[in-house]
Amino acid sequence: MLQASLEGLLLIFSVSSLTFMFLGIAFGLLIGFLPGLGGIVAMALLLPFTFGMSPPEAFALLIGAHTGTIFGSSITSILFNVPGASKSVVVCFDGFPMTQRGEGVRALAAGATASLLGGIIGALVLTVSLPLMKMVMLALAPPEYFMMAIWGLTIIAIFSEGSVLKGLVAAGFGLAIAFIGMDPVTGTARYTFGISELVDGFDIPVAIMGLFAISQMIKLYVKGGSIVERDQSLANSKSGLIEGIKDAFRHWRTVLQASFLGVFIGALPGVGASVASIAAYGAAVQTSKTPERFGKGAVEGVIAPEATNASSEGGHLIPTLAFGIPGSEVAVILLAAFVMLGIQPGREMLEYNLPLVFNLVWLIVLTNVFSTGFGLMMSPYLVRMTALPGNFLIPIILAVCVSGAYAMNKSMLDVVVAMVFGIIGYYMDKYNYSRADMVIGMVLALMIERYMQISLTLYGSKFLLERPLTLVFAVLIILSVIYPFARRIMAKRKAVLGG
Amino acid sequence: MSRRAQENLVAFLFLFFFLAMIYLSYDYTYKARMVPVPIYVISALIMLLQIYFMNFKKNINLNVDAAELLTGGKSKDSVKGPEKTEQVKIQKVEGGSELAAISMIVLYLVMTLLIGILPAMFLFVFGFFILITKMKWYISLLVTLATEVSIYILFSYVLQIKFFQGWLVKLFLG
Repeated sequence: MLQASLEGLLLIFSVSSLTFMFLGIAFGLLIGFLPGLGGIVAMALLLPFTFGMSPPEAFALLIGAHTGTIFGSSITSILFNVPGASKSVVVCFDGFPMTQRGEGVRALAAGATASLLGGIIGALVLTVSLPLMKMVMLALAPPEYFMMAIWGLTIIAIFSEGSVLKGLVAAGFGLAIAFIGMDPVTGTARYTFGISELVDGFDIPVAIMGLFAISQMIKLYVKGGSIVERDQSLANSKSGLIEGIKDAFRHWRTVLQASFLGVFIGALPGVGASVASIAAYGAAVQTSKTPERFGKGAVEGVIAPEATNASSEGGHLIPTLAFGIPGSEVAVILLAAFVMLGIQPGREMLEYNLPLVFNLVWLIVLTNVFSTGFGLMMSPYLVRMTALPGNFLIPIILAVCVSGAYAMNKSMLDVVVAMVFGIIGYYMDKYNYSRADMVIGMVLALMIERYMQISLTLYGSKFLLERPLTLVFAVLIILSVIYPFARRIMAKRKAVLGG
Repeated sequence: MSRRAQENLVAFLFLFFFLAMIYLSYDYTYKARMVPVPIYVISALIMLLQIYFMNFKKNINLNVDAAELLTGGKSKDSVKGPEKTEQVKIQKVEGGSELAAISMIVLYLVMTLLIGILPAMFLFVFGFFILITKMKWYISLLVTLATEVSIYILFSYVLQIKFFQGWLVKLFLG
């Protein structure tokens, strides 16, 4: 195994592989910068170029591009509240408030370091758990997936900014929006008003772009000035960088917890990285001693989703390599590359092509190292953009948003949707209806409906009581809901007793 | 309009939305509405509860913190009397610009639909710099062209996306 690992590492150190890796990272960063276009777009665009390449070269290009998009979309999420992809939306929750407070460099550095650590942990877990994960994956059935989605919903209270009722309404609104389109079970077109383009439903990245990016530009126009004051954004950029790196190590428990969650959720086929980052954020809040800081610029709120986003890459590869079942959309592209290169994933690959498996593992590590290095180097310069006058940024960001929304499906309806959601997002923010809760509702709606219907068909109406694992999940959900309240009550009692 | 009236208006809009969705759901089969309907009903009930708290509970004014409710306290984030007046004042200042911001978004959308993405982008960005940012015309033109060219290279050249041409262009040029 050690020899295979070394062979896998050596495969990267050829001039061509290294060149393709850097090209991939640069391309990924560029695509990541553009709102709405995530890793899948970057990899899909590069896939035709891998024809005729050797497997290590092709993997270097594809993995490099994907890792680059993760950091690229984090930059826009943290600095402008513009998530590059749906899985980066959670990074906005605390990253942007940190930027507004003049701690953009710290947030970028903490995110980049957490991403590096998450990527390394993800790769290590991938190596160790390949044989074990098979058992775990086979043990989980639709009722457990359903419970996982419900667990994701429990973090709604966190983002409610003092109004849980409004937060719940926002989540209900998000769920309602996600129900527009074709019902996943019966195939009925619901709430489409006869508009054929709505049969596929609203594209979540387009809606997120409107809710966060366009609404943020409206807010900036109304507020005037810039995202942060110039003095504030440039002051302490060096100490912010070091502080951010230290933050990731200081909150090592959050990094570990988020990374393991990322690998675990990433390994489950059909459960996207967005769900993983929501779950990791929720877990970070529920285990934090000061949960009230979250959503207002807590560095752990940046660290947790960044670590998860990076570690889930390792997770996605587990079912892809072990069974040939893609764990995510990105893994689908990778699987297509395997087919193009004549590689058969599954048992055969693990037995006869082990150096290539380790080549992928090492690529995840190295691409994370290089994109983090780039991120740390560039963050003091990137953060200067936030000090530009709002009236300079607004038209440019709006122009990029319109192009990005159109590029998603080459449909003008997406541009209209992004604009409409921008206006809705502005008013939701103004009247304290959490946009984050709405996004959580939108992301989890399909998973809830699909797995609930499948569970009902397979196990009947008592599906929650039929399977011990589902009950374990139910208990965990109840505990995670009660825990913050119980802790608050206990803290109050302690304060009363203490004086 | 007072802040409370605005909050009520938004709350009733949400309530109307959920009620309309419940009504529409009965056009679909039991399986197709099995998950959405309970969610709409619960959301509508929560909205009614929020409306009740907003208007009839004086100690919990606009924002209701569930944690505080459970522990029997008063929400620290609730908007109190004096702050409310302050917010109404701020609201008046925001009103004009807010309307301008929304109009600007709508105008950009209409322009995009009529003349296409790239020409609308040029007009919008250049017009914004001249009329709102008050930049010198040649700097505005330079930044606008730089934006336009960058977007063209990224989307049309690299990503091979053919931009929408606009209804007017289609109408006159076919």
